[in-house]
Amino acid sequence: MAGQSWAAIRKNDQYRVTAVREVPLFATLASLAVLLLAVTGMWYREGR
Amino acid sequence: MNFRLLFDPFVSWPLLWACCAIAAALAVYLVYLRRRGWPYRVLSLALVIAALANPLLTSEERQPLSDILAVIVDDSDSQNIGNRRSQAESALAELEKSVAALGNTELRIGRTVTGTTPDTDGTRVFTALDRTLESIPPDRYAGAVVISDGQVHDVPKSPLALTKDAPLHALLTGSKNEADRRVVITNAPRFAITGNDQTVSFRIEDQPATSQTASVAVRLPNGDEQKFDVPVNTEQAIQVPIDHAGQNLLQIEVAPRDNEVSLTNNKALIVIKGIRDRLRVLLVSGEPHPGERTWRNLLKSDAAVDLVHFTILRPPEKQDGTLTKELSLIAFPTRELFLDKIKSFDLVIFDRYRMQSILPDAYLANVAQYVREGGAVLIASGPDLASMDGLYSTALSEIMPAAPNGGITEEPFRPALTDVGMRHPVSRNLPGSNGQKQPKWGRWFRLVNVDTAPDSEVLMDGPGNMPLLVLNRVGEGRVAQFLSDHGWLWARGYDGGGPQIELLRRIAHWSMKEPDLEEEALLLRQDGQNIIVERHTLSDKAGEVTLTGPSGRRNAASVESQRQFPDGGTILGGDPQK
Repeated sequence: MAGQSWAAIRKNDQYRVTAVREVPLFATLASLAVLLLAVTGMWYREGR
Repeated sequence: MNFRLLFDPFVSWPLLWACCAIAAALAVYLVYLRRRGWPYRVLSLALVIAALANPLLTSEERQPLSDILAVIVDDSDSQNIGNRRSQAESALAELEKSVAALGNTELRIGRTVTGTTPDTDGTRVFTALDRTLESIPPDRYAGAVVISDGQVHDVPKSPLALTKDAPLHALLTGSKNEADRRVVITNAPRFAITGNDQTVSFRIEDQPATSQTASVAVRLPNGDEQKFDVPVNTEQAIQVPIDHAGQNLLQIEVAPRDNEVSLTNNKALIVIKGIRDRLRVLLVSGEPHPGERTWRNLLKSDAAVDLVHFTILRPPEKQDGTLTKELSLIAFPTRELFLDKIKSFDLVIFDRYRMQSILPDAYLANVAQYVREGGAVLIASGPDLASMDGLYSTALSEIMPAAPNGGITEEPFRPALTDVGMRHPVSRNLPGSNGQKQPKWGRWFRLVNVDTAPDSEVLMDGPGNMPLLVLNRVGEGRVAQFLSDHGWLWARGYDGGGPQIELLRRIAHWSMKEPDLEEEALLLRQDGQNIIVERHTLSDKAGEVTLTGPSGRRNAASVESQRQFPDGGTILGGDPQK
């Protein structure tokens, strides 16, 4: 791949991973609260 | 930032999938029953599964890695032509600049290495590329740029395999309208029998092709120069006489055309190794004596010698009543041998020959003429030399380096080497001499006293420094004279014997101008990266050697490595820098 005034080289897009950050989405108190809320809602609904 | 959602379940994956399946089945059942609050139940199930699956939001911190571009710069000698080298260097600088502007790309520069063996000479671009690629991680390899004049000698069978799907670019040095003319040897023998003509074919090639004629100068091995015009790009054949054994050099040089890139390839040098066919020797024996048989055996034992032995069984003047027809085996073709065919012999040996009215003097005059025209004669004589009908009384005396003065020494003596003999290739380092002037060879008992010609060389002497072995050049030929007829004592091993076979072999080869036995010789050979210059000389000093390299640069060979040998030979070793 080359023209009159240019020549191409391959772009590899290689990278090195230096760190990984992880955010747990469900194993938190908030998600526990949502779960409890759902169970409570179910109980409430069925208890009526 | 690269965000990604990952699951890192608290239980193993199969168990999680099993839970999912059970939950899904329950959910379907709940939906089917449509009990009150079924959405809450499905939602709770989903949340439990979600909690087990433990979703994570991840983000990677990434450090980009640069792409690596391999640049191979041709460093071969052809880059020295014109301004190619500076073009290559400026191309490299320009490339470095534009790659720096590209950002996140780096260069790995490799240079070709040119060796001296057929496997390593020339432009070895792919070898250099291969070596450079070894240090580049394949994932980061972005391509290669070759800066060369375009001649590459190591293109592999599948170049694409090496370039690994990445582009390979070439930047060519030189200019568009370069022209070159060169000599291409199309056919040349490497070996040839001496005395024959060999055909060497060559072609003058023009690039770009033209239809001109070129003037060619050919220098033959014997030093003759021929000049003629030949059409370009057609094959030509020339006849090359091979006169001597060893290296025969043929040089073909073509006149330059306009705008020529290089004049180095306008010249071609061909080495044809001359090999001597069987040696044709004429042995002329006189009166039968014990040594006659020795001469004959000596020459017969050498497979490379074709011997014609002329011997006298009975002189014609002898009267013993034997019928001539009972004596004659066949009539000896003397006239044919001594007049017509004498030139076909490489060497004529006279062993104690006397003129017993068998050969007319005219025949010997013809032998003298044969020597002047390039023949070789070895005369071994005892008292017969000085006798009334001895060889010195014939026309051969004109070519003899040693003239008998009438005296004969008859006492035991050991043949010794003279100062010249210690250096002369014929007699130096003879077997058993151990570098001594007076080796422990067997004794001889008879020596003809002679006066030697001033330009002759005395290699061996006897008692009172009287000459024993005398060599001389006559015209184009050579004469050797042994002044004793007791050489056969050595061959018989008497008193320890001596190196008679080797001495005779060397005298024979010297008289036939074998290059190995020339007194003054300059030999060149290659030893790895070195050129060894060997100088054989009879003088005390080897002298300086000047080497002219292909570039025309002269180089006084490193004289510091000069080694003086006791026998006068000298080796100079030097590496002519390009």
